[in-house]
Amino acid sequence: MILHIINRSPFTTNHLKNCLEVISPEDALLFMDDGVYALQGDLLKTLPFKIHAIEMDLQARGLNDSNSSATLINYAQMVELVAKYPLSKTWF
Amino acid sequence: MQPKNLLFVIRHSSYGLFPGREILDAILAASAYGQNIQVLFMDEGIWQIKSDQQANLIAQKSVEKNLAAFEIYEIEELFVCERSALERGISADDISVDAQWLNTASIQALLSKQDQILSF
Repeated sequence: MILHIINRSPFTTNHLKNCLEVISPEDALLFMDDGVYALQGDLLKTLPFKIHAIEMDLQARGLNDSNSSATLINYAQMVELVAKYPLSKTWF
Repeated sequence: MQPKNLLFVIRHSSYGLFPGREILDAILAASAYGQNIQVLFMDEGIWQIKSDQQANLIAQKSVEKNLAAFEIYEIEELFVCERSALERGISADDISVDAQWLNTASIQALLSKQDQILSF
């Protein structure tokens, strides 16, 4: 069970794509910082993984999760999330 | 001295690793020297003009105030790369500035008529 953390925009980096090539069904994704731009549009719509995103990072950038593809969390919940997964991997 | 045609090409987002806000400050500074300034938002630069940014939530200053200053400085020729916006699911309703949307051919024409192109 791995928490994959994406903190760069999927529109300029291949981090999300590279991550999706090796992610396992029981893993989860966390989007933060410029990574939350992944929630704009249909990129994540069909992904079968648990998806989390930092709500304040979305709001700061004028975005909302209109496709409701992710569970929106705050920083305290992020700490709980990271603690819950035995492994985490940041893609950068 | 004749004013020069300066095009600022903004290709980075507001709050990522690249200091997006400083670009907007540079544009305001250049305008004080009476140059003919045009600004093109493309690729990740599109995010800078996304409406409803609440940057205070992540302890940053919103770029929207800098953008609002453009009008006061008479920087009115703003352009949006249509392809970049469509790729990101951004429509005309989603942006905070009054800008002209350009296709690839129009961007080629815009680039080639400049005296200087400043890329950020």
